Amino acid sequence: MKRHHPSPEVLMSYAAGSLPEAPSLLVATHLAICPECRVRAGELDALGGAMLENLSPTKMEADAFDRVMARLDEPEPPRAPPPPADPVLPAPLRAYVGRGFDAIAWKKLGRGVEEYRLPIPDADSYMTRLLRVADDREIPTHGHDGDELTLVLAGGFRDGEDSYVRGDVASADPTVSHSPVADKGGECICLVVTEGKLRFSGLFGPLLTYFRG
Amino acid sequence: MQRPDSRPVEGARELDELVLKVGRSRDREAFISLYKHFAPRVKAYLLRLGADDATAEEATQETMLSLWRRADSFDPSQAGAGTWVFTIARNRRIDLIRRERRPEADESAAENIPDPAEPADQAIAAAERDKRVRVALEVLPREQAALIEMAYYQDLTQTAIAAKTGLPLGTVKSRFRLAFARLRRALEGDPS
Repeated sequence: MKRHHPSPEVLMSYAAGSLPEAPSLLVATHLAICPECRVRAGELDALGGAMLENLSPTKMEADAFDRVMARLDEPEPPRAPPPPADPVLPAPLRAYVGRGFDAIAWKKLGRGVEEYRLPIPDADSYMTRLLRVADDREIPTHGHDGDELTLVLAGGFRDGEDSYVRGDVASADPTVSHSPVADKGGECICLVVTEGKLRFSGLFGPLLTYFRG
Repeated sequence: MQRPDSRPVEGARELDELVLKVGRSRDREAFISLYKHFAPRVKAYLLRLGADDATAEEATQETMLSLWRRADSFDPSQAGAGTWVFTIARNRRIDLIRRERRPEADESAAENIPDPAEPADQAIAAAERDKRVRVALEVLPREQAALIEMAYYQDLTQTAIAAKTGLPLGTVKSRFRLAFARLRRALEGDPS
Protein backbone atom coordinates (compact mmCIF):
# COMPACT_ATOMS: atom_id res chain seq x y z
CA MET A 1 0.00 0.00 0.00
CA LYS A 2 1.20 3.51 -0.80
CA ARG A 3 2.58 5.29 2.26
CA HIS A 4 2.09 9.00 2.77
CA HIS A 5 4.93 11.19 4.07
CA PRO A 6 5.26 14.88 4.88
CA SER A 7 6.19 16.88 1.75
CA PRO A 8 9.89 17.57 1.04
CA GLU A 9 9.42 21.26 1.73
CA VAL A 10 7.93 20.59 5.17
CA LEU A 11 10.79 18.22 6.05
CA MET A 12 13.28 20.81 4.83
CA SER A 13 11.75 23.58 6.95
CA TYR A 14 11.81 21.25 9.95
CA ALA A 15 15.52 20.54 9.43
CA ALA A 16 16.25 24.22 8.87
CA GLY A 17 14.55 25.07 12.16
CA SER A 18 12.15 27.49 10.47
CA LEU A 19 9.02 25.34 10.81
CA PRO A 20 6.88 26.60 13.72
CA GLU A 21 6.42 24.45 16.79
CA ALA A 22 2.98 22.99 16.00
CA PRO A 23 3.82 21.45 12.60
CA SER A 24 7.28 20.53 13.97
CA LEU A 25 5.56 18.41 16.60
CA LEU A 26 3.69 16.55 13.87
CA VAL A 27 6.88 16.00 11.87
CA ALA A 28 8.82 14.77 14.92
CA THR A 29 5.98 12.37 15.77
CA HIS A 30 6.00 11.06 12.20
CA LEU A 31 9.79 10.61 12.32
CA ALA A 32 9.45 8.41 15.41
CA ILE A 33 7.27 6.07 13.33
CA CYS A 34 8.88 6.43 9.87
CA PRO A 35 12.48 5.22 9.41
CA GLU A 36 12.56 6.39 5.79
CA CYS A 37 11.85 10.01 6.74
CA ARG A 38 14.42 9.79 9.56
CA VAL A 39 17.01 9.13 6.86
CA ARG A 40 15.71 12.05 4.78
CA ALA A 41 15.74 14.35 7.84
CA GLY A 42 19.34 13.28 8.52
CA GLU A 43 20.28 14.31 4.99
CA LEU A 44 18.67 17.71 5.47
CA ASP A 45 20.52 18.12 8.78
CA ALA A 46 23.69 17.42 6.76
CA LEU A 47 22.67 20.24 4.43
CA GLY A 48 22.53 22.52 7.48
CA GLY A 49 25.96 21.23 8.55
CA ALA A 50 27.41 22.02 5.12
CA MET A 51 25.93 25.52 5.25
CA LEU A 52 27.36 26.10 8.72
CA GLU A 53 30.82 25.10 7.46
CA ASN A 54 30.41 27.50 4.53
CA LEU A 55 29.82 30.53 6.73
CA SER A 56 32.74 32.89 7.18
CA PRO A 57 33.82 32.69 10.84
CA THR A 58 32.93 35.82 12.78
CA LYS A 59 34.84 37.52 15.58
CA MET A 60 34.09 36.37 19.12
CA GLU A 61 34.13 38.72 22.13
CA ALA A 62 37.54 38.85 23.77
CA ASP A 63 36.40 37.08 26.95
CA ALA A 64 34.09 34.54 25.27
CA PHE A 65 36.62 31.71 25.33
CA ASP A 66 37.49 32.17 29.01
CA ARG A 67 33.83 32.31 29.97
CA VAL A 68 33.08 29.00 28.27
CA MET A 69 36.13 27.31 29.77
CA ALA A 70 35.11 28.54 33.23
CA ARG A 71 31.73 26.86 32.84
CA LEU A 72 32.91 23.40 31.75
CA ASP A 73 32.86 22.08 35.31
CA GLU A 74 29.42 23.42 36.15
CA PRO A 75 26.97 20.72 37.19
CA GLU A 76 24.88 19.63 34.23
CA PRO A 77 21.20 20.46 34.15
CA PRO A 78 19.30 17.22 34.73
CA ARG A 79 18.07 15.52 31.57
CA ALA A 80 14.32 14.96 31.57
CA PRO A 81 13.52 11.25 31.84
CA PRO A 82 11.61 9.91 28.83
CA PRO A 83 7.87 9.68 29.51
CA PRO A 84 6.58 6.11 29.94
CA ALA A 85 5.88 4.27 26.68
CA ASP A 86 2.41 4.46 25.20
CA PRO A 87 1.01 2.31 22.38
CA VAL A 88 -0.71 5.22 20.60
CA LEU A 89 1.39 8.30 21.39
CA PRO A 90 5.03 8.28 20.19
CA ALA A 91 7.53 10.01 22.51
CA PRO A 92 7.55 13.52 20.94
CA LEU A 93 3.76 13.75 21.19
CA ARG A 94 3.60 12.20 24.66
CA ALA A 95 5.83 14.99 25.94
CA TYR A 96 3.08 17.46 24.97
CA VAL A 97 0.02 15.48 26.02
CA GLY A 98 1.64 14.94 29.41
CA ARG A 99 -0.27 11.76 30.13
CA GLY A 100 -1.01 8.40 28.57
CA PHE A 101 -3.53 8.03 25.80
CA ASP A 102 -6.06 6.40 28.14
CA ALA A 103 -6.07 9.44 30.44
CA ILE A 104 -6.86 12.07 27.79
CA ALA A 105 -9.86 14.27 28.62
CA TRP A 106 -11.73 14.19 25.30
CA LYS A 107 -14.29 16.78 24.39
CA LYS A 108 -17.27 15.62 22.35
CA LEU A 109 -17.90 17.50 19.12
CA GLY A 110 -20.85 15.32 18.13
CA ARG A 111 -21.47 13.01 15.17
CA GLY A 112 -18.95 10.48 16.47
CA VAL A 113 -16.07 12.97 16.70
CA GLU A 114 -14.13 13.93 19.83
CA GLU A 115 -11.16 16.24 20.16
CA TYR A 116 -8.38 17.13 22.55
CA ARG A 117 -6.55 20.42 22.00
CA LEU A 118 -2.86 20.44 22.70
CA PRO A 119 -1.38 23.30 24.70
CA ILE A 120 1.02 24.88 22.19
CA PRO A 121 1.85 28.55 22.68
CA ASP A 122 1.43 29.74 19.07
CA ALA A 123 -2.28 28.91 19.22
CA ASP A 124 -3.09 32.10 17.31
CA SER A 125 -1.59 30.81 14.09
CA TYR A 126 -2.14 27.07 14.54
CA MET A 127 -4.75 24.80 15.99
CA THR A 128 -3.22 21.56 17.22
CA ARG A 129 -5.45 18.75 18.35
CA LEU A 130 -6.01 15.06 18.57
CA LEU A 131 -9.16 13.87 16.85
CA ARG A 132 -10.90 10.66 17.70
CA VAL A 133 -13.42 9.58 15.10
CA ALA A 134 -15.76 6.61 15.58
CA ASP A 135 -15.56 3.97 12.87
CA ASP A 136 -17.10 4.80 9.54
CA ARG A 137 -17.97 8.33 10.65
CA GLU A 138 -17.21 11.37 8.59
CA ILE A 139 -15.10 14.25 9.80
CA PRO A 140 -17.24 17.36 9.09
CA THR A 141 -16.46 18.82 5.64
CA HIS A 142 -14.21 21.79 5.96
CA GLY A 143 -11.84 24.07 4.13
CA HIS A 144 -9.08 26.05 5.77
CA ASP A 145 -7.22 29.32 5.36
CA GLY A 146 -3.79 27.67 5.59
CA ASP A 147 -2.17 24.26 5.25
CA GLU A 148 -3.45 21.34 7.27
CA LEU A 149 -1.42 18.28 8.23
CA THR A 150 -3.01 15.11 9.58
CA LEU A 151 -0.99 12.26 11.06
CA VAL A 152 -2.74 8.94 11.72
CA LEU A 153 -1.90 7.44 15.12
CA ALA A 154 -4.40 4.57 15.20
CA GLY A 155 -6.99 3.10 12.86
CA GLY A 156 -7.21 4.70 9.46
CA PHE A 157 -9.28 6.84 7.13
CA ARG A 158 -10.09 7.26 3.47
CA ASP A 159 -10.15 10.55 1.63
CA GLY A 160 -11.29 10.15 -1.94
CA GLU A 161 -8.96 7.64 -3.62
CA ASP A 162 -6.36 7.67 -0.86
CA SER A 163 -6.26 5.65 2.32
CA TYR A 164 -4.19 6.42 5.39
CA VAL A 165 -3.02 4.25 8.29
CA ARG A 166 -0.78 4.74 11.37
CA GLY A 167 2.24 6.85 10.45
CA ASP A 168 0.73 8.32 7.29
CA VAL A 169 0.56 12.09 6.85
CA ALA A 170 -2.17 13.75 4.79
CA SER A 171 -1.37 17.26 3.56
CA ALA A 172 -4.10 19.65 2.47
CA ASP A 173 -3.60 23.17 1.23
CA PRO A 174 -6.24 25.93 1.30
CA THR A 175 -7.63 24.99 -2.12
CA VAL A 176 -8.67 21.55 -0.85
CA SER A 177 -12.05 20.99 0.66
CA HIS A 178 -12.15 17.40 1.76
CA SER A 179 -14.27 14.98 3.73
CA PRO A 180 -12.21 12.17 5.19
CA VAL A 181 -14.09 9.10 6.47
CA ALA A 182 -12.76 6.83 9.23
CA ASP A 183 -12.25 3.20 8.23
CA LYS A 184 -14.71 0.55 9.32
CA GLY A 185 -13.76 -1.77 12.15
CA GLY A 186 -12.32 0.62 14.74
CA GLU A 187 -11.96 4.24 15.72
CA CYS A 188 -9.44 6.50 14.05
CA ILE A 189 -7.05 8.67 16.10
CA CYS A 190 -5.22 11.52 14.37
CA LEU A 191 -3.00 14.44 15.22
CA VAL A 192 -4.25 17.40 13.19
CA VAL A 193 -2.35 20.67 12.82
CA THR A 194 -4.29 23.42 11.04
CA GLU A 195 -2.83 26.75 10.05
CA GLY A 196 -5.33 29.61 10.38
CA LYS A 197 -9.00 29.06 11.10
CA LEU A 198 -11.24 26.29 9.88
CA ARG A 199 -14.13 27.10 7.58
CA PHE A 200 -16.84 24.55 8.00
CA SER A 201 -19.24 24.15 5.14
CA GLY A 202 -22.39 22.09 4.94
CA LEU A 203 -25.48 22.17 7.12
CA PHE A 204 -23.71 22.48 10.46
CA GLY A 205 -20.83 24.59 9.14
CA PRO A 206 -21.78 28.05 10.39
CA LEU A 207 -22.88 26.59 13.72
CA LEU A 208 -19.61 24.69 14.24
CA THR A 209 -17.61 27.74 13.24
CA TYR A 210 -19.57 29.77 15.80
CA PHE A 211 -18.91 27.32 18.63
CA ARG A 212 -15.26 26.88 17.76
CA GLY A 213 -14.47 30.54 17.15
CA MET B 1 29.43 28.90 -4.49
CA GLN B 2 32.88 27.57 -3.61
CA ARG B 3 34.17 29.75 -0.82
CA PRO B 4 37.86 30.19 -0.13
CA ASP B 5 37.46 29.30 3.53
CA SER B 6 35.27 26.20 3.05
CA ARG B 7 36.79 23.36 4.91
CA PRO B 8 38.49 20.54 3.03
CA VAL B 9 36.81 17.16 3.29
CA GLU B 10 39.83 15.66 5.09
CA GLY B 11 39.10 18.03 7.98
CA ALA B 12 35.72 16.45 8.66
CA ARG B 13 37.21 13.23 10.03
CA GLU B 14 39.59 15.20 12.19
CA LEU B 15 36.66 17.10 13.74
CA ASP B 16 34.81 13.82 14.38
CA GLU B 17 37.88 12.49 16.17
CA LEU B 18 38.04 15.59 18.38
CA VAL B 19 34.39 15.23 19.44
CA LEU B 20 34.98 11.54 20.20
CA LYS B 21 37.93 12.50 22.41
CA VAL B 22 35.76 14.94 24.37
CA GLY B 23 33.10 12.24 24.71
CA ARG B 24 35.53 9.57 25.88
CA SER B 25 37.70 11.51 28.31
CA ARG B 26 36.51 15.11 28.58
CA ASP B 27 39.65 16.09 26.69
CA ARG B 28 40.01 19.88 27.13
CA GLU B 29 42.61 20.29 24.39
CA ALA B 30 40.24 18.64 21.93
CA PHE B 31 37.43 20.89 23.12
CA ILE B 32 39.58 24.00 22.58
CA SER B 33 40.25 22.97 18.97
CA LEU B 34 36.53 22.39 18.45
CA TYR B 35 35.73 25.74 20.03
CA LYS B 36 38.15 27.54 17.71
CA HIS B 37 36.61 25.90 14.69
CA PHE B 38 32.92 25.99 15.55
CA ALA B 39 32.24 28.93 17.90
CA PRO B 40 32.94 31.65 15.26
CA ARG B 41 30.77 29.76 12.74
CA VAL B 42 27.91 29.17 15.16
CA LYS B 43 27.96 32.85 16.07
CA ALA B 44 27.96 33.77 12.38
CA TYR B 45 24.97 31.46 11.90
CA LEU B 46 23.06 33.11 14.76
CA LEU B 47 23.87 36.61 13.51
CA ARG B 48 22.66 35.65 10.03
CA LEU B 49 19.40 34.63 11.68
CA GLY B 50 19.00 38.11 13.12
CA ALA B 51 20.28 37.73 16.68
CA ASP B 52 22.04 40.77 18.15
CA ASP B 53 25.68 40.39 19.11
CA ALA B 54 25.13 39.74 22.84
CA THR B 55 22.40 37.15 22.23
CA ALA B 56 24.48 35.43 19.56
CA GLU B 57 27.41 35.24 22.00
CA GLU B 58 25.23 33.74 24.70
CA ALA B 59 23.60 31.17 22.43
CA THR B 60 27.02 30.24 21.01
CA GLN B 61 28.29 29.67 24.52
CA GLU B 62 25.28 27.45 25.28
CA THR B 63 25.85 25.52 22.05
CA MET B 64 29.50 24.90 22.92
CA LEU B 65 28.54 23.80 26.44
CA SER B 66 25.99 21.37 24.97
CA LEU B 67 28.74 20.01 22.71
CA TRP B 68 30.93 19.46 25.80
CA ARG B 69 28.16 17.78 27.78
CA ARG B 70 26.65 15.63 25.07
CA ALA B 71 29.81 14.57 23.27
CA ASP B 72 29.36 11.09 24.79
CA SER B 73 26.24 10.63 22.66
CA PHE B 74 27.98 11.72 19.42
CA ASP B 75 27.86 8.91 16.88
CA PRO B 76 29.87 9.56 13.70
CA SER B 77 28.02 6.75 11.93
CA GLN B 78 24.84 8.88 12.24
CA ALA B 79 26.23 12.32 11.40
CA GLY B 80 29.58 14.08 11.12
CA ALA B 81 30.67 16.70 13.66
CA GLY B 82 29.63 19.65 11.46
CA THR B 83 26.12 18.27 11.02
CA TRP B 84 25.87 17.41 14.69
CA VAL B 85 26.94 20.89 15.81
CA PHE B 86 24.48 22.43 13.35
CA THR B 87 21.60 20.50 14.97
CA ILE B 88 22.69 21.63 18.45
CA ALA B 89 22.98 25.28 17.37
CA ARG B 90 19.63 25.13 15.57
CA ASN B 91 17.88 23.66 18.61
CA ARG B 92 19.52 26.07 21.08
CA ARG B 93 18.42 28.97 18.91
CA ILE B 94 14.80 27.79 18.83
CA ASP B 95 14.96 27.30 22.57
CA LEU B 96 16.76 30.50 23.64
CA ILE B 97 15.87 32.98 20.90
CA ARG B 98 12.56 31.91 19.42
CA ARG B 99 11.48 30.66 22.86
CA GLU B 100 9.72 27.60 21.52
CA ARG B 101 10.21 23.96 22.23
CA ARG B 102 11.87 21.83 19.59
CA PRO B 103 10.05 18.52 19.19
CA GLU B 104 12.54 15.82 18.20
CA ALA B 105 12.36 12.11 17.54
CA ASP B 106 15.24 10.73 19.56
CA GLU B 107 17.22 8.66 17.07
CA SER B 108 18.08 6.07 19.70
CA ALA B 109 14.58 5.68 21.19
CA ALA B 110 13.95 1.97 21.55
CA GLU B 111 10.29 2.39 20.68
CA ASN B 112 10.96 4.01 17.29
CA ILE B 113 9.81 1.84 14.45
CA PRO B 114 13.14 0.42 13.28
CA ASP B 115 14.30 0.36 9.72
CA PRO B 116 13.48 -3.19 8.60
CA ALA B 117 15.89 -3.69 5.74
CA GLU B 118 18.31 -0.75 5.51
CA PRO B 119 17.80 -0.24 1.78
CA ALA B 120 21.02 0.35 -0.12
CA ASP B 121 20.44 4.07 -0.58
CA GLN B 122 20.09 4.51 3.18
CA ALA B 123 23.28 2.66 3.95
CA ILE B 124 25.73 5.34 2.75
CA ALA B 125 28.14 6.15 5.53
CA ALA B 126 27.53 9.49 7.23
CA ALA B 127 30.89 10.87 6.11
CA GLU B 128 30.19 10.06 2.47
CA ARG B 129 26.68 11.50 2.81
CA ASP B 130 27.98 14.76 4.30
CA LYS B 131 30.53 15.05 1.49
CA ARG B 132 27.95 14.51 -1.24
CA VAL B 133 25.62 17.04 0.36
CA ARG B 134 28.43 19.62 0.38
CA VAL B 135 29.10 19.04 -3.31
CA ALA B 136 25.39 19.17 -4.17
CA LEU B 137 25.06 22.48 -2.34
CA GLU B 138 27.91 23.97 -4.38
CA VAL B 139 26.28 23.17 -7.71
CA LEU B 140 22.70 24.01 -6.76
CA PRO B 141 21.05 26.54 -9.13
CA ARG B 142 21.08 30.02 -7.63
CA GLU B 143 17.29 30.35 -7.32
CA GLN B 144 17.04 27.12 -5.32
CA ALA B 145 20.07 27.93 -3.16
CA ALA B 146 18.52 31.32 -2.35
CA LEU B 147 15.35 29.69 -0.98
CA ILE B 148 17.31 27.18 1.05
CA GLU B 149 19.32 30.03 2.55
CA MET B 150 16.09 31.80 3.47
CA ALA B 151 14.83 28.69 5.25
CA TYR B 152 18.11 27.89 7.03
CA TYR B 153 19.39 31.44 7.69
CA GLN B 154 16.34 33.67 7.91
CA ASP B 155 13.88 31.58 9.88
CA LEU B 156 11.23 32.10 7.22
CA THR B 157 8.32 29.76 6.65
CA GLN B 158 7.37 29.07 3.05
CA THR B 159 4.44 31.45 3.37
CA ALA B 160 6.82 34.16 4.63
CA ILE B 161 9.31 33.40 1.84
CA ALA B 162 6.49 33.78 -0.71
CA ALA B 163 5.49 37.12 0.81
CA LYS B 164 9.08 38.38 0.92
CA THR B 165 10.06 37.36 -2.60
CA GLY B 166 6.69 38.08 -4.21
CA LEU B 167 6.71 34.55 -5.67
CA PRO B 168 3.50 32.52 -5.57
CA LEU B 169 3.50 30.00 -2.70
CA GLY B 170 3.24 27.17 -5.25
CA THR B 171 6.47 28.34 -6.92
CA VAL B 172 8.25 28.47 -3.56
CA LYS B 173 7.13 24.95 -2.75
CA SER B 174 8.10 23.59 -6.15
CA ARG B 175 11.60 25.14 -5.90
CA PHE B 176 12.06 23.47 -2.54
CA ARG B 177 11.01 20.20 -4.13
CA LEU B 178 13.47 20.67 -7.00
CA ALA B 179 16.29 21.38 -4.55
CA PHE B 180 15.32 18.32 -2.52
CA ALA B 181 15.23 16.16 -5.66
CA ARG B 182 18.72 17.35 -6.68
CA LEU B 183 20.01 16.58 -3.23
CA ARG B 184 18.48 13.11 -3.44
CA ARG B 185 20.10 12.47 -6.82
CA ALA B 186 23.50 13.61 -5.52
CA LEU B 187 23.14 11.25 -2.56
CA GLU B 188 22.32 8.41 -4.87
CA GLY B 189 25.56 9.08 -6.71
CA ASP B 190 24.29 11.11 -9.63
CA PRO B 191 25.57 14.68 -9.27
CA SER B 192 23.82 16.09 -12.38
